[in-house]
Amino acid sequence: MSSHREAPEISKDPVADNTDTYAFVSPDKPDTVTIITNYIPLEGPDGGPNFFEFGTDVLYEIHIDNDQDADSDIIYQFRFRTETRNPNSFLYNTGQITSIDSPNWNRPQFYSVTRIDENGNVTVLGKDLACPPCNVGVRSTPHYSHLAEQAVHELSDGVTVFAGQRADGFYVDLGSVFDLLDLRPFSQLHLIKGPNEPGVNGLKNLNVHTIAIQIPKKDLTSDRTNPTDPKAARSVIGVYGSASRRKVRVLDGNDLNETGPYVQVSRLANPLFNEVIVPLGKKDSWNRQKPKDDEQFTKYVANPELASLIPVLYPGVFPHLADLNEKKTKRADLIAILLTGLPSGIISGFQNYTGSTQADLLRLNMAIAPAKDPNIHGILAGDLAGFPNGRRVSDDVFTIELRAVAGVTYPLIDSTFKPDAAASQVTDGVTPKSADLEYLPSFPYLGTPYDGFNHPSN
Amino acid sequence: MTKMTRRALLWATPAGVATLGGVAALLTTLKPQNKALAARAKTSTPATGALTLHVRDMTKSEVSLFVGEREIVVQDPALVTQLLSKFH
Repeated sequence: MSSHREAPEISKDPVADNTDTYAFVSPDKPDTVTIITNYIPLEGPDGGPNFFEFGTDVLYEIHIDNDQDADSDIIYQFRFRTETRNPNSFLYNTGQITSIDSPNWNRPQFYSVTRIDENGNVTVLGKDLACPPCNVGVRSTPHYSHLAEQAVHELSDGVTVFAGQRADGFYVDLGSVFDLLDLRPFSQLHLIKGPNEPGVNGLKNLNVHTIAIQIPKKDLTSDRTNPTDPKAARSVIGVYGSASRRKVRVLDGNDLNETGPYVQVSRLANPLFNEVIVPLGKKDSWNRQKPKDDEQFTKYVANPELASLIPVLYPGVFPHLADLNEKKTKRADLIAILLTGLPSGIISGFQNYTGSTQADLLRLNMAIAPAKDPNIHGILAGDLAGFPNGRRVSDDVFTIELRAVAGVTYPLIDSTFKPDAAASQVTDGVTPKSADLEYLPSFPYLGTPYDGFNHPSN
Repeated sequence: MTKMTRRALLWATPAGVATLGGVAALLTTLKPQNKALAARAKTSTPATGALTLHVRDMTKSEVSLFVGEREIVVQDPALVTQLLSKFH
């Protein structure tokens, strides 16, 4: 999860904690876009007896801007309810769960999907849609992939949805990165030296809860026509996921009363934005804001703290970056990548510009076809279908953003700037291959969740 | 949409930022209320159950009332005074 427990308050509310947002042209159905928002970070597979589930008191939403003003034009809402079939049992399942309507599943969860469009039209796309159970183990949830397939629902107008547990597709050496930005493959160069070692995936064998929706492209453009021209503004959408809670909560004896409108408590577009760009004193506030008001945070992108730390923590390795920092050069490259999108003329054949309103949005140019041979380093490696053109499940967003902050993208603004040689090499050393991650070739693309029996937390 | 170039990407100068920001501010003023966000109220569940009342600052007369997913803010100094008297 690229944004898990990233702010003090949301770290105490995992059910409402956005962990990753993905948006990409579906590789197997290129006339559609798939958007995925994940919640509930760091799910240990053996998390019983009350296995993880969506919050029935949380409003989960996916927002889409399609007219370049960073405001929500289309909103997909997901609301959940949970049943307890036998309240006299302590068990999550009272026998084997071989289908998602099995009476043996004691805590089934269901949801509705509602679409609101830019004209204020509200359409309920689906109700009482079943989630799959958590992947408990070989006895409780045998043949789990078949269970999960039953939870893929095809709705009207070509929309497909899924909501339930999946394997976390994000990968990063969490333990080392937050240990004063130690990058294990380069520990010998760190201020506090250590042996060079391969990266270790800190999310190994952990699950998340996924909301995935696949939508025909034409339903996302402002004029409801198919986006075919990569140069056209209407081919680009801005996306973010959010979670909201009711404004008032009263613990009243055995009852819990919640009233008032929904208030946003979490949001996520670009990976790692609130994690490493926004300072600690603003993180909770950032989660409450709408992206269209993000100009107040531009200064943290323009002169990121991380950029100033890299030359200090790796002395002598990043002299050109250090020089840029010393001059207090505004990082217009990072502002473009994260807050406005790249206009035409900067990278040949590519643009994902959504206008001058500075906002943290995941910007997807829907007219750019999926890559036949995806490169996990996305646009940095010349793969125009990868991050930051939206975000695919396998993109190495940590390495991409680290290299960008380290200076590899500054020549987009100033062609005379020569990045440090190390800037294009830095990485935490974790890849999908090294982490043994498996993604699916079709919806919902994230892999089968790890089961508790075969993957105990120890 | 203003045609963007590499030069225009140089946000470094305050004047450049102010100009683009000024255009954005003007567009915000002219743009009607976001209909999608306004329509979120249509998806709220019917009001049942509790009525909750919240006075953020006892020295002021602003009272927030919550029913279902609705919030109404009223100015009612007499109500605040009456409520506070219950604690004496």
